[in-house]
Amino acid sequence: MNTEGQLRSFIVDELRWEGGETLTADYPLITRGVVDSLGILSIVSFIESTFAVQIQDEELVPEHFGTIASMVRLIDAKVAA
Amino acid sequence: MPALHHLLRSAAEVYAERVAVRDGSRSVTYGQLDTWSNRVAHQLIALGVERGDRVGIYLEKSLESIVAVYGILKAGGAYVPFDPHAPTARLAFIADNAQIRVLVTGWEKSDAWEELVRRGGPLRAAVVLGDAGRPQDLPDLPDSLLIVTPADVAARPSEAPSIRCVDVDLAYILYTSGSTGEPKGVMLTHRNALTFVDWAADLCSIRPDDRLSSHAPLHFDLSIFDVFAAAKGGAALVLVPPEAFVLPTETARFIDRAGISIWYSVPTALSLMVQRGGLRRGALQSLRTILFAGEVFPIKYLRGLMSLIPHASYINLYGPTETNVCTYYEVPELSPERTEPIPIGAAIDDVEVFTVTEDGRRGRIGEAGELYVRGSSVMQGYWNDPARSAMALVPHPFLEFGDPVYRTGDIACLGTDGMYTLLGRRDQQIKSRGYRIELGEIETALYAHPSVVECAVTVVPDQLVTNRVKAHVVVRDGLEEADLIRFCSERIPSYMIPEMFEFMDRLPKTSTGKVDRRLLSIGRG
Repeated sequence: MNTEGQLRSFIVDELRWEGGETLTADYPLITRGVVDSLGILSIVSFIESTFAVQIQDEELVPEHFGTIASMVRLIDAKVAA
Repeated sequence: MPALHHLLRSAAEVYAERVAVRDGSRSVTYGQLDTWSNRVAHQLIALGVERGDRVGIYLEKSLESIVAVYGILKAGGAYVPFDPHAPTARLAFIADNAQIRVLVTGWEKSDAWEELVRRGGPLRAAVVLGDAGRPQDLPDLPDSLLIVTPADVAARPSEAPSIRCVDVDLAYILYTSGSTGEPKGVMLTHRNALTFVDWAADLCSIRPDDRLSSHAPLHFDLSIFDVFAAAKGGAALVLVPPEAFVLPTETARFIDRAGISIWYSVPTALSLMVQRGGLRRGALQSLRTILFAGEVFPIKYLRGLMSLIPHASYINLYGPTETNVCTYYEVPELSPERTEPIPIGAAIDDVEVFTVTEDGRRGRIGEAGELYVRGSSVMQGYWNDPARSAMALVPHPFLEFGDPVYRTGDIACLGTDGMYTLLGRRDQQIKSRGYRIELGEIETALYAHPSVVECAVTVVPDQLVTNRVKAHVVVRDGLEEADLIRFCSERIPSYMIPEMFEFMDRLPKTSTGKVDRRLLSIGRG
C-alpha cells in the first residue's frame, strides 16, 4: 500500500472515521472534525514508527496535517532528506 | 443584577465600541451584539416564544451561537444548547423532552431539521442566523416547519424587548449523561449562573482589556464562565478555532496571536500543549490566568505547564453541571517530588460544601464522605423528571430548614488546610476528556442491538484523558466491532463510544449473580 493508502487505513481503522468513501486525499481532516487532538497524536506516532521519521512539535501545523495529501508531502520530504 | 443578559446590556452601555466576540476574522462589538440579539428576541417573541419556553441552539460555536444565547434570554426563554456533533436520535430525544418548538440554527444543519421533525418532535420553526453554508436546494422539509431567514431577523426592531425577568427564571438547560440511557436536563436559573459568574469575574478581576478564550462548546457548562464573565468585565471573548483545538502548536499560536489573557478549558488541551506545543519557558506572555475544570489535571503536566508559563496564576475549578462551579483551588508552586493530585479546594461565595460519611454523619477532617453542595448555584432539578430530581436534590441532612442540597456522588475528604480532595465516585459515573459519562448509558446503547446478549462497560485509567472506555460484550450472529461502533454512533456521542471491545463467551459473575466488574476491570474476565 502507498503512503496515502496507509494513512487513510489508519484514520479509518484506528481513528474510526465513519465517512468511508468521502475521505479523499484533500478532505479537510481538522476543520471537518475527522481527527481530534488525541487522534493527531496517534497519527504522529503512526507516521514516526511506520516511516522511520521524526516529527518536530513545530511541524504540527495545518499545512502539514490538514489533509492526507499534506501529510504525504511531509513524509515524502522527510524520507527523501 | 437579576439576569444574565443584563450583563450584556450593561457592557453595551459602557463599551459599545469594544469587541465583544471574535470568531476567526469576524467580530462583533458589544453594541452590535446587543442590537443583533434584540432582533433575535423580537423574532422569537413573534414566533410565540413566551417566558420559560425552551429554545434550542443548534449551531457550532460561532458569533451566531452567542447571539442566539442572548436573544433567547432576552425573549424570556431558556436556551438549550445541542451538541452540534451528537447523533440526531439523541437530539430528537432532547427536543422532545424539553418540548422545543423553536430552534436557532444554521443552514448547515438543515438535513437534521428534517429528521427532528420526522421523528415526531414538537419542532415547528427554525430561525437561521447567518448566511454561511446556505445550500442551493434545501432538503425536502415538512410544511409544518417554518423557516425564518437571516433577512427576516434583520427586519425586526433593534431595541430591547420589554420582557420582565426575575432571577429565579430558568436561563438554560444542559443535558448530561444519564445512567438509564436517557440524558437528563439540568435546569439552571439566572441566579444559579450569576452566583458563579459574579464570583469568578471578581476572582479573576476581568477587565475590558482582557481577552478570554472560548474553548468549551455551549452544551458544556465550562462555557458559562467565558461567555458571561467576559460580558461582565466588558472583555473580548475569542472563540478557539478548530485547528487550535486539534493541534497543540496551534493552540499555543492561537493564544499568542489572539493575545489571550484568561484561558479556561479541560486539562487535556493544556496537557497536550505541554507535551507537543513547542513551548519554551516564558512563552505566551499574554496569559495571566489559567483555569481548568472537568477532570483531574495529571500533576506532571500541570507542573510542566507551570514551569513553562510561570507568569500565570492557576486555578482548579470543580463542580458538576448541577451545581455549576462550587469549589476552587488556587494552585501554589508544586514541589518536584509531589505526586498526589491537587485538591478541588474550598467553596465559592454563597455556596457551602460538606461531606456525609457512609453512616450518615457529617465528615470530619481526614474522613472520606460523599460531597454535598448547598447554596445559590445549585440547580432546580432535572427537566420533566421528578424521580431523578428527588434522588439528586435531597433535604439537608443536618438542617431543619432551607432549600434542598445536591448530592454529587463524588467521594471527597477535607484536609487540615480546609481544602477538599476528591477520592472517587460512589456510582458508575466516569470522566473522560472532561466529559461526564454514565457507563449505564453506554450499556443501554449496546443492549439496544438485537445481537448483543450481554455487556458490561468498564474503564481503563489513562494519564492523558483520565479514562478510556472498554466494552465487554457477549454477542451472537457473528457481530463484529465495526458493527457495534456504527450502531453506537447513531445513539450516543462519539466520546462515549468504547475505545476497546472485548468479545467474550460469557461475562464473569459474582456469587449473587451480578456482573463482576472488578474482575473485568483487572482483566481477569
